[in-house]
Amino acid sequence: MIRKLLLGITLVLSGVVHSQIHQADKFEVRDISVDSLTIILKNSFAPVNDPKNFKIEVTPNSDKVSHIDEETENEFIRKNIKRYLAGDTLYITSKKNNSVFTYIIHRSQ
Amino acid sequence: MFIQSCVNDDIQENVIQDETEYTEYSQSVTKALNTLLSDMGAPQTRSESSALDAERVSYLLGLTSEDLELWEENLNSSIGEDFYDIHYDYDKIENAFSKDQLHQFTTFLKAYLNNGKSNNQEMIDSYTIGKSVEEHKLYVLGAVYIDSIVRPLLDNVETSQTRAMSHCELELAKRVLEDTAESVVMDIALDGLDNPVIDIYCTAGDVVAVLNAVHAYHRCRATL
Repeated sequence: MIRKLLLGITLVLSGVVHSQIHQADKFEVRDISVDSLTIILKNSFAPVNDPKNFKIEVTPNSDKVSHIDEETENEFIRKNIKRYLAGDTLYITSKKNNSVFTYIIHRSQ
Repeated sequence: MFIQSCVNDDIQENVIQDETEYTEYSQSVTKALNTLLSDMGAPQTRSESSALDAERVSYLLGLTSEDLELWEENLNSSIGEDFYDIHYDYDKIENAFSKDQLHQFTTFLKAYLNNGKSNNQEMIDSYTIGKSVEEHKLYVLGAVYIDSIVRPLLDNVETSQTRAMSHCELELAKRVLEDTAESVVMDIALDGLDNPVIDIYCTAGDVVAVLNAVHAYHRCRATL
């Protein structure tokens, strides 16, 4: 009986989360290949990949502003692949005009 | 409809009918579930909120049949196999309520779950004004169901699946999205010690807005 109940939960919630994802354009990705992750990261970075734009590095008590250059995209990709492979969860939000995509990317435990 | 109340006379006698019964009913099951989670080695949640988010639900949807069987076995041993057989009946509710009633009930369940608070009698009452006694029972049972089953399950999912960002990181992300007019990319991660590592990429036109958000973030972190 409990199993039926839990299966019911998943079905109920699946409708809820579907509507949430549709509204927020939020995507969770698990156990993705490095090649596919690279594509997601490259696409996510595309809206700001211009030397006229800026990178702001934030720590809990400081911030550093610098220009984006031709190496910034590669650093962005390498850094996140390294984090992903280390088991960290990546939260990448990319906004262009009124279109916002958030990727939550991680490996299964 | 997946969450069901009992409608035959025998079972109805066992269904909670007022706030006192609801509270006792909910607390007893929640206590049993918390004990169960602890016994299973589940870490304690860092957040008091059980509000639904896509990531937690996505994880929940990914539970295997073996995961569910483990829950079933442990719950049965903890609260008794007949608990839900007595208080919930899957096969009767669709015949007892109209589609419109069930649609309204589903709306309530989503709102109640996303409200993030347990034992919210006021919310139940606000949704059941003018409804029949049977519908009121259904709504109370739905709330108990969420408080006793769904919230503990989601809390467990949250802590085991992700290392949650603090309120400050979430506020920063929200504000950057709201305050920037052009393109922006936010890259937020937590290092091995759960320290936030944040990079934000933006256009020249949005630098001031982003820095204002970052300064608010620093003030938020200072209060932690």
